[in-house]
Amino acid sequence: MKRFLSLLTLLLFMTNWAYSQNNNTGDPWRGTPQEAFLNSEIVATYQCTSCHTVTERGGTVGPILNQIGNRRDDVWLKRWLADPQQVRPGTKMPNFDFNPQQLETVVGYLRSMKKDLQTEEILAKNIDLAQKGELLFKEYDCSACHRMGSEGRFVGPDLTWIGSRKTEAWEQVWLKDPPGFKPDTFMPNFHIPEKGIAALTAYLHTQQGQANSESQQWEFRTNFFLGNTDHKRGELVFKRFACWSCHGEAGGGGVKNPNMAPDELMPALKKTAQNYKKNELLARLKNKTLPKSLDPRQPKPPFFCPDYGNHLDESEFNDLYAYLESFAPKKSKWRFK
Amino acid sequence: MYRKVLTPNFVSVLVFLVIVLVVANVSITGAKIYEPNNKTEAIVSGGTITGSVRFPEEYPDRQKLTITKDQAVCGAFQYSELFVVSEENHGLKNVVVSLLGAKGKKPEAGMATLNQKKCQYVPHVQAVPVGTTLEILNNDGLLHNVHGYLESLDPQSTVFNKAQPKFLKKIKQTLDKPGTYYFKCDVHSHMSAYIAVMAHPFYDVTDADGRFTITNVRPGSYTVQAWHEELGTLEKTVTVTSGKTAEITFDILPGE
Repeated sequence: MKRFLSLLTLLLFMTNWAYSQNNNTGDPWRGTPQEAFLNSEIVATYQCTSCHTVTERGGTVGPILNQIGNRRDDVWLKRWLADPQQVRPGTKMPNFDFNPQQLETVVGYLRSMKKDLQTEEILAKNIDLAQKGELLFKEYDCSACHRMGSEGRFVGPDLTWIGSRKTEAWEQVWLKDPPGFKPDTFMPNFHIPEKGIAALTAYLHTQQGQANSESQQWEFRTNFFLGNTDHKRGELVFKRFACWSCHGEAGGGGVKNPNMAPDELMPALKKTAQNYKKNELLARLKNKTLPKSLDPRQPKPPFFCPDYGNHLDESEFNDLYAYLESFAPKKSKWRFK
Repeated sequence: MYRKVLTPNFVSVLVFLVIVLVVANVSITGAKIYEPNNKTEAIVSGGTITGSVRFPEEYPDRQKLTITKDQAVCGAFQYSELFVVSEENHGLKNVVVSLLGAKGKKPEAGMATLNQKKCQYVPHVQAVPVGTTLEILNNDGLLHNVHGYLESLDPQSTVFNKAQPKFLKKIKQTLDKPGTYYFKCDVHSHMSAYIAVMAHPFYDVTDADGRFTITNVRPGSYTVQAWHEELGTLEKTVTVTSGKTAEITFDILPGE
């Protein structure tokens, strides 16, 4: 009996020790506001994680919420949760019909999910500007909404190719105050200090597709050549070069066009292949196309289609054209008489 | 012993009776609500338009939709409702057939149901009078969102987007604009449904044999429109005579 008891104490001691070890070296989110949110009744009942990732768990439909408290204030959160369609018409976020008390609880959790940003420390580091920018990109959790290579969500534009479609000057103006530049944008003002913006811009401006990892490139190539039709391969080109971030998913348009008057949308690509001859269109895609300025006194339009001639080869252009061609109205294998 | 056996049986019979009565009552009132014409029109003795929507000898197989989320409830795959074709007569289900620009007594709006069953909308296609209150059911025990659009899936066409968390078994939504409502669940992107909302009583949705019937049509010439989620629309003209049945067929052909 004595032996048994001592064994038992030993066993208890060991499990306790193992537990404390696990506690020390395990989940970095343990005990954080993020974990509290995950374990909350709100998440259990309303299943926020069906669409949102928190601490690396959850769906990929909406933004990652780990640092939501850094980018949204109470007023915005309440307005958003009370009626998402009012804030962002067409959003996939549904109205949960929270009562005022629930609203308060949810906002309480979201507000607390923030990080003590180390902006100054990063800027003080002895590394080059673009590297600082990369660290800031992580620090501000930009991939909560933006795709970069295989990381991040698709709430805002894909930034994998940002360096080849925006000027540095534009990026600087934009990052300073997105809603100031474009009042209806979903992107908040992060109040990044001047030097931080310079670093982020330097980083973003180097992004010309290299964030697509080696393995991803390889996977892309395999998909590309193995048994795909021209237009299927063209679709991969369309996705890989983030054409959708301006022209809409599957060329459906609907993206706000800041080159134009406030309510103007980017046109859909449904009729591209009918409106352009192949050579004409490919020439346009290969060289940088600057949109015509509607008012010569105003600054030049900030958006343009990059010079993809430097990034795609001839066969990729052909496939892209085949894809654009496939947008023509009759998609179905079947039609009415 | 006798009581023990009988009591639960008795209770279940009672429950069954109540259910039967309730269902019967609902279907009777339902029939009343959807009865498109008033008596005076019936006395005029309208005509009937009937027919079918059909594929040729060759027709598409039922597609499989792969499911990657909540498989415990939704399953690993589902059969698509896009092309449900009868093996016997190649008729196509889920086509909305209606008279274009017809004038009739505005149908009385009632209730309709859209169920979410194992991450699938049931029914996939239906047609209802304008002003109908839609009861959206969720017995899946998980979060769905009901994202309603009018006429297209363009985000800008959103009419409403309501969350239906697992505890919320029923929500209501009034369909107050004529036109085709598209339904999507953003949580489970494979889910889709369509509801044609009608300002007049002359419409039908094709059954499993691809057949439709529109009754009590005042004699005259009409344009009949067939609408399918992928095939789009096709119009045909038809002349209706009093007390007779006019037959039309909408044929589907291979593309190009």
